[in-house]
Amino acid sequence: MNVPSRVREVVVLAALGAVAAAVAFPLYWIAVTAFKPGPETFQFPPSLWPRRWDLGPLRAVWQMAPMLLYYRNSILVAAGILVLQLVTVILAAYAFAVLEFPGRDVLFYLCLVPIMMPEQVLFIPDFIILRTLHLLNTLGGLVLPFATSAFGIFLIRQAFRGIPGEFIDAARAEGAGDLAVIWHVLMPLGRPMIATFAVFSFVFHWNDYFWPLIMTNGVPVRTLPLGVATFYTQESGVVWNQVMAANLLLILPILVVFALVQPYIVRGFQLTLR
Amino acid sequence: MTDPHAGAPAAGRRPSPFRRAARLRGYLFALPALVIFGVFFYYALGFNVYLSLSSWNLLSPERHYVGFANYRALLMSPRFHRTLWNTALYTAGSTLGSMTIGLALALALRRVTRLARLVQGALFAPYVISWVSVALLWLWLLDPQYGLVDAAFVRLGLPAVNWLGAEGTALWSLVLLTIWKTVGYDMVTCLGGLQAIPAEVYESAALDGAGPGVQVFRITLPLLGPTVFFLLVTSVIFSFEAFDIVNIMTQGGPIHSATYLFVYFIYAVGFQYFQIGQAAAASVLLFLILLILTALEFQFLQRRVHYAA
Repeated sequence: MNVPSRVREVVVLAALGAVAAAVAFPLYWIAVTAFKPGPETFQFPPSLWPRRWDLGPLRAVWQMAPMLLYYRNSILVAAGILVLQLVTVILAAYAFAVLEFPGRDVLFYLCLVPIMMPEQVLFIPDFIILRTLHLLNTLGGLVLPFATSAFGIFLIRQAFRGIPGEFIDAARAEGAGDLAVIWHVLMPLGRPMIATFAVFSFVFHWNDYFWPLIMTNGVPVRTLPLGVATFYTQESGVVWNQVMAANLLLILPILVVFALVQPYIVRGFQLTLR
Repeated sequence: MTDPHAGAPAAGRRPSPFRRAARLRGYLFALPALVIFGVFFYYALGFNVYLSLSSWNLLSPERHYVGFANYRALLMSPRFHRTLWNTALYTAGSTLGSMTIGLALALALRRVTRLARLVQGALFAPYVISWVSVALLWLWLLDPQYGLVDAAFVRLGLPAVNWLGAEGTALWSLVLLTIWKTVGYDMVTCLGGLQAIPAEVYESAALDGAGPGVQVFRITLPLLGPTVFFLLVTSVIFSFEAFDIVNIMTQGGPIHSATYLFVYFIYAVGFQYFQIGQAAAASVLLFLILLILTALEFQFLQRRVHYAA
């Protein structure tokens, strides 16, 4: 307890650094394996650094599966969901936070209940609904059920309510309509929360495996996580350097996004909890 | 949350035509969200209950009412019992493990000023990658022949473990990798809660002679109540969603439904055995369990959180 605080900080930092390195090491292992020549993956004990960095596994993955198509599908689905969510969520959040109408609170709670129910609870009836709408095996069927978000409505309504009413009144007095108020007042002031929500939504749907697995089959509408998973279930046996190369292609865009917006995410958590 | 006036600035001053119009616009703006939830949540919820009372194989046009037969069949099914038990163990193990370690890391990280962002980033990275990536990665790490984990065990003179291939260890392997994936989320969330505690509280406690240990148990943990509550609710719900790791890593095996978790059970019954009625019945039970758990957590913790705060 009498240890000077500088020394204590160094000790704590060293311990934390060790834990962080141990947690991050498996991610490093994906990258290392993805660049190892085949025989080196069967070596025991495994080499912690490839003797030579081999592009073979990545090239093989790119040739064996239509990776570009998978990327395109995943981007279309995740971006389509994001755009629709932003529109429906911001409009609803505005209605629930700013406008006044009978039954408003009841309708708000109806939009809040789905927050605690994951997509996995209702996939059986939703499968049949999508089949009735002829949306099975289409990218639309992967987008439409997620065109709005209870979590988003909750977060962004919260952000809009934190904005002083005088700003809105001032804009109105100058003749601004609803959409102008949303665009020029609420969205700029609510931007941190909207950005946080957007990152969460995009990452979540980019990563989603369950919904595409249930609602699609067949290569033309396959998204990246499903496509990557098929590298493990090949009948010819598991080729680990190729599986990890495919895995790397799935992870890389997310880690880049994450590295760019890490402060937003961390701050987003703190905003959420207030 | 239910303050009807805070959201409508100065509504009283407005002329009535505006307010009448506001009424219509309110419904109009909320409509898209309401339609989506109406179809894919509320209608689906009712439809699911209806399906759970019928017998149907998804493909044939024949679908008939069977009352509660599907629920009775579930309650008699040894596989369903095993699923419930597995889900309880998985939820308790991963939630408690991840929250405890995440809180400890947050408490340690609070004392660090330099390199904090780097450490945070490394710990949080597994949380943002997909469950598919996690499943494939850990299949490779735990590979009984060439996996890194067994190589390390051999090097340390420990006996090799057949992680995913043995009934006794498969579920706990899933718990461990789940903790690995989620601990960063718990850490970041706890850190947010810690930063919300005003420094003056600690200063006055230190003046009263409270040491660091006393401060953690008397100030930090009680004031962290709301954060811990939030984490518990979300973590329990997240752990009930678990599916990808089971489907990719174990398909419910290796033997005896050893790693059947709730959603995987619904999926297997519905889309592999085509017993839609029974799968829907299990979905209804899952819905009720999540509803009850959330309500219980609110009841139990809100009381404690209020006392603490």
